[in-house]
Amino acid sequence: MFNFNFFQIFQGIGTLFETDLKTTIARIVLIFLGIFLVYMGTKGTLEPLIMIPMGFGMSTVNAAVLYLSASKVGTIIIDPNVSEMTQLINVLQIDFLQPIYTFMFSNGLVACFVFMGIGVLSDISFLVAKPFSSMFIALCAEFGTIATFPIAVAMGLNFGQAASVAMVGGADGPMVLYTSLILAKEYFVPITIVAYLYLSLTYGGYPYLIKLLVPKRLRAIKMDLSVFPEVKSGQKIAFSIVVCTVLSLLFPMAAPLFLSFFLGVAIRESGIKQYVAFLENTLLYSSTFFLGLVLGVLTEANTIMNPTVLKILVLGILSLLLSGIGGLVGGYIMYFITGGKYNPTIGIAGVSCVPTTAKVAQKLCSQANPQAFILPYAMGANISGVITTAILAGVYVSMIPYLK
Amino acid sequence: MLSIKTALMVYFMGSVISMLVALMINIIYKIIKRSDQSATKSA
Repeated sequence: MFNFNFFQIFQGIGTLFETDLKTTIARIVLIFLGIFLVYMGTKGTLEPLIMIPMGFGMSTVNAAVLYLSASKVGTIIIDPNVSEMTQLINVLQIDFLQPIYTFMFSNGLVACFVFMGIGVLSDISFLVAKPFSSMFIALCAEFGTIATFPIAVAMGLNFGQAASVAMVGGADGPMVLYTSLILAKEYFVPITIVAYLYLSLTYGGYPYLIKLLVPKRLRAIKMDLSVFPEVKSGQKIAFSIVVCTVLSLLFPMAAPLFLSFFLGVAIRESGIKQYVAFLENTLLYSSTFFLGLVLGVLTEANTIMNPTVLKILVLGILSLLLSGIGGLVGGYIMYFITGGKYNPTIGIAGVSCVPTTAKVAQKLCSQANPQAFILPYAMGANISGVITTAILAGVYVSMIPYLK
Repeated sequence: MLSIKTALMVYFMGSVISMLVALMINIIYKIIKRSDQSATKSA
């Protein structure tokens, strides 16, 4: 006689009733959250390049829970907790995204690939032309990266976790991923997801912060563009190799990030079209795609259901908010130093979400005064932001292990 | 207290190194500019 068991055949539904109520609710919420992220990405409200694969991964992984053995439930997509070698070899042959996770994610390779792509997209002419003011703005815009650290420790996170979540204020997804993989591997999934979710919101959220803190009269200030000298490719390549070498000497732990970024910059300037096309299109987009997808499938209910995740959510937004405020304060300081000739809105571009924050600054200024063209200054601050964030990540990664 | 001290130390180190990077950029820019100018003159 055929013994029909509905829950054995449709295991995704069966496991919903097998696990405890909290996990079941979390799974259902995450399935709908994934669908919502895909919708928001498709609409363009959130960054579609990340949100569409992440949303798909999130809803699928929480639906596709099955019985791995009589007493164990799980998925055949990914297992981030496997550490023992024989077990890993087995999992690599079963879980279809495990090779990507093991060989690209858990060693930070994907962050470096994305960084190479960012490097090849970055024109450092503006930074080379105005290095001190650009760096100053970027340092002010790191306020969240610094101020969130003691707040996170006060909220009960250890130093590694606090530094990782504070890096969200640097507004650089790959950097957050890299730092959390080294300093807080147990929380790298929620921290990185929070970082990418919030970074997607900067385009919508920062304009309100700018309007709140910078009056229209100041947003309308025109910048002097005649002071921008011509910067040759040779100068940019020389800058890249010298700075990369010096920073790697200082912070060997962050050397993969420095190498990836400055190599990207040098390749852009060298004009090797095949390499530029490879890094800009193939490598950057494929890495971003797998970054979103793997982050999505790592968002299993069991990973997310942790009281610390709520703290990470609060601290992440606080860090980005403080960085935005810090950047605008830096803009105001430059405004006063130059006797009112500097548009303080440029300060927001110090938050290194390349090139989003620079575009936001330009958009807000153009709305206040169509002739206020500040983009070259904003891009200088933006690229400086990437460098200062990498430097601060290097300092955190080098220092924190000695504080434990 | 240790966390505040750590944060300040990280920021201080980060600021000094960032400004050194800015200084390096400036020096490299000026050196290459000067060598270009002297090359143009001798030509």
